[in-house]
Amino acid sequence: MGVNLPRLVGARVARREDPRLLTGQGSYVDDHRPARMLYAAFLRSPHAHARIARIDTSAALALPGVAAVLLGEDIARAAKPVRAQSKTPSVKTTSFPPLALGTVRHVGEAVAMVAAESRYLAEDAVERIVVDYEPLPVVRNTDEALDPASPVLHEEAGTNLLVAREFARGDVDTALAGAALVVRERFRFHRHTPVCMENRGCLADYATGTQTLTLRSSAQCPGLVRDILTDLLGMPEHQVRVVATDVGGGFGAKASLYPEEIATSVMARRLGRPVKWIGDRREDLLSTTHAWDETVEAELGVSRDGTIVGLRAQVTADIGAYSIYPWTAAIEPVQTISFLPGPYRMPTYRGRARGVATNKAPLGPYRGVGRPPAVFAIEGLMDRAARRLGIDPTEIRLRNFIRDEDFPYKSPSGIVWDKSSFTGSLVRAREALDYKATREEQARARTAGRWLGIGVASYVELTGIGSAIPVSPGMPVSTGTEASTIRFDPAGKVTAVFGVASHGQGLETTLAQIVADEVGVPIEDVRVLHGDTEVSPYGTGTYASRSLVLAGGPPFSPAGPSARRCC
Amino acid sequence: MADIVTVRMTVNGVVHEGRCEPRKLLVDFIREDLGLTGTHVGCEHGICGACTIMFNGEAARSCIMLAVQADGAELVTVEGLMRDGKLHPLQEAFRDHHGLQCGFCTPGMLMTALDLLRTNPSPSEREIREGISAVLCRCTGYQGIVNAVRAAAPILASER
Repeated sequence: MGVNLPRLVGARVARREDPRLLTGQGSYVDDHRPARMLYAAFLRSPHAHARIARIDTSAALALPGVAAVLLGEDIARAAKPVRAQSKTPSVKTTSFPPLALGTVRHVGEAVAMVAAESRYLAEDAVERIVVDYEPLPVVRNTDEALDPASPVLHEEAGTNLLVAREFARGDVDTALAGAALVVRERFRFHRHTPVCMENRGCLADYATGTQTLTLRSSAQCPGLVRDILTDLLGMPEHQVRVVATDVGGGFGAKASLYPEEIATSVMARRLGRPVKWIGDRREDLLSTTHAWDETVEAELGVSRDGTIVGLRAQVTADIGAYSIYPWTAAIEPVQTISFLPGPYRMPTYRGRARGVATNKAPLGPYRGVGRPPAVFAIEGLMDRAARRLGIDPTEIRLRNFIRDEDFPYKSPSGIVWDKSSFTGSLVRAREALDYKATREEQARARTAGRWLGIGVASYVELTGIGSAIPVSPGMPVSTGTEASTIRFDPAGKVTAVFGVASHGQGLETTLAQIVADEVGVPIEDVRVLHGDTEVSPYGTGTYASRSLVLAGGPPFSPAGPSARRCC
Repeated sequence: MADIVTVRMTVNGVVHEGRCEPRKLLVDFIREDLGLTGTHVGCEHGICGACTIMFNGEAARSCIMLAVQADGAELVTVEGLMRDGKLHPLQEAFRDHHGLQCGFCTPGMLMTALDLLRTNPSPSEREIREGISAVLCRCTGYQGIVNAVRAAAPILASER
């Protein structure tokens, strides 16, 4: 079999996804329209916090072409409540009903669902549903949420403080008291929304004859959605199929389970007809998880030469109204406090993470999860310390990096840096820029009245997270494993099936490069399938920069042995 | 409920006739009634540009037009770009220059770029950026798209 084929990993290979995506032949959720399909629309709360006194759906149901209207109680009878649980006892578990049950806790929360012969009709019906809301006092921010006089959003938790976790090393209070300099800052990160170009959507099809559910969803993690739907709907795992072929961007926002996926599945099962819901931009902005809404208060103590003696910090995240599955309310603040020590030797540390419930959309994973705020805060403190001490910003970092001889180094939050080149990277970056000459140019520009800026920051990207990552929010998901099936047909062509899913990463190309190299066939002979739990081995999906590493990286070995066996 | 109306339009060189409510958006008519799902819906208020098509020879946003407004019109959608089973030079350039990732904005981006190159066959980088600013892309950071449009410009110009 294929000898002397040029290696494809590292070579320029045209993306195999492109011909279909460039010609309008993608397979996004909304491109599917099975026979007898109904269109769904949701009625969403205009209130941030209110009790639902009464819902009248009669006018909606009277509209010709409306098949059904579901309310929170209907879903509660058909599906277990979503409860994102953590192995960490400091994370409180609360319910997240797919449709509101008696109380709405954020603007945009789904209250009722209509299925009708067209989306236009479904929206007409939504407008005819009458809801009597009794507004409740609104918890607007974390300060209000922690005020004992404020309402508690989830009675079962007894408090709005849903997450309280601490990482500590040594006696930071004594270290800071004895430090030559302590720099303090309060960093405020506003709420972001991920805004994928494709709004969230899903299409549920329940075949009554075989009692199987197929859910097409704009999901990053079809395996994860399949697992939890199985549990919530009380269906056996092999009867539930989740498909996410082409997904129009995710950025983390499509990595969680969403209420609409459950509600649409319930509606399809109840009616025995396919039901499709495609969010419009407004509902997507209101109900897709938001991100990064937190405050980092931090104090960094250094000696006279800039050596760090300790870091004391508190992260308070506004996690919104619900703890999302599977990541829980802990994901943002715990990651932030975990990565705050950065790539630096940190002899003493105390980092407190707090996740606080408010009347806003739930907070979820998005682009780096906690790391952008963590990096901004620690690097801001390093700069402040350097300025105060009159030390060059690159120099203070070089003095504090975990040195080559320190590896493996365990950070105060438990991350083990096994082997990295923090010092070498910055030294090379300085050389590449000709740092000294650039500083001189900056000085000349200043005298000429021109402000030229030079920024220095360190960032270590952590990808392909393993099973036992200590900084995780402790969710019951196996992040450290992925599997693939490599199939050879009699003609020697290869079909490689993966449990990960692509939402723009080009995995059909990169995984094919790896398989072709490992098996020893031209890339044209490799077909990659992904994003379909029915055809793939067990897996969760794509998040945390994991897919190429876990699905195609060193843990990926079946192609090697199987190739050897068959040749 | 409003009356059902009949609309007739030429799409990618084929005459189509359909019946729909007067309130039906053109993009929904294209996707649902004609089954041409290459044209995407991103915002439904004319901001993101994913739904851009050629309407009587000019780029137009099909999510802020009604199907009835297209009665008698000539449309081209992304499905109509290929020639003799081969990618259009602009599609080829997008592939060569990594002008797409998730592909959701791509149909609108292609139609917008096509319109730009129709009115300005040799645009500067600044003009390309201005031209494609009508379409939002969240994946690429635009650089690959700009490179693709620049590379396609002389090829399309030489075909005129």
